[in-house]
Amino acid sequence: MLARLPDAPTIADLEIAYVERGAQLVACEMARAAAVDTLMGERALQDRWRREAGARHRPTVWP
Amino acid sequence: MRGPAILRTLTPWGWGLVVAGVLAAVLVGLHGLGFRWDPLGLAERRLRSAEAKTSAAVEDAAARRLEVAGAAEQARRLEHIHQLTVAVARETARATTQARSAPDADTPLDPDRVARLAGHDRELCRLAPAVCGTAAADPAGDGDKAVRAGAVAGRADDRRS
Repeated sequence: MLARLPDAPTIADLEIAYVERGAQLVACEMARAAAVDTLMGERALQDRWRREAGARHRPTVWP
Repeated sequence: MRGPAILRTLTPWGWGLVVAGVLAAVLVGLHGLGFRWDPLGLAERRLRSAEAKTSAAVEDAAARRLEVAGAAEQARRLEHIHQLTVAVARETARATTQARSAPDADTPLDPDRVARLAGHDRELCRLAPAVCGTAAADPAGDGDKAVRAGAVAGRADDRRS
């Protein structure tokens, strides 16, 4: 959740909100990258499974 | 006693036994030569069923192997993210502590600046209510009514625990 200033904020509150938003940005980016990596990894596994399954089903001796 | 004489003396039961013996010998001989009498194709069906089961088992084993590999990769990825999260939280806590202990920490912000920042936050929350933890605002309506105050800055440690 977006870090926001409290009522009657001080200089410290501003600095802290700045720092927290930076941390939130990094956390968001990590979550985004993790989601993308997970999706791509899942698709790579599916592609690999299909490739290996195709190789297994291919006849070894052609008529 | 010669062979034909023996056959002439056989009773019907004896003939039956002879015929059965000859049939058994023929079947054994043909079986040994590779002949299979299976008019219903049961052996073929059993073979196909066994092949299908074997194929399914091989596919299943391959899928399980890939799942294990994927789970290991995901665990490694999560561990890396966890380490990064801990590092970010540690740096944020350190910066927060330093901000609170600064000489001008308690100096109030200029009201005009506070109003500008609050207005900007309200606009952000109107555009992306989920970021502020508010319900989705009606784009056609007054978004400000759906905006609630977000988390107060300076409680990073509490939220990350």
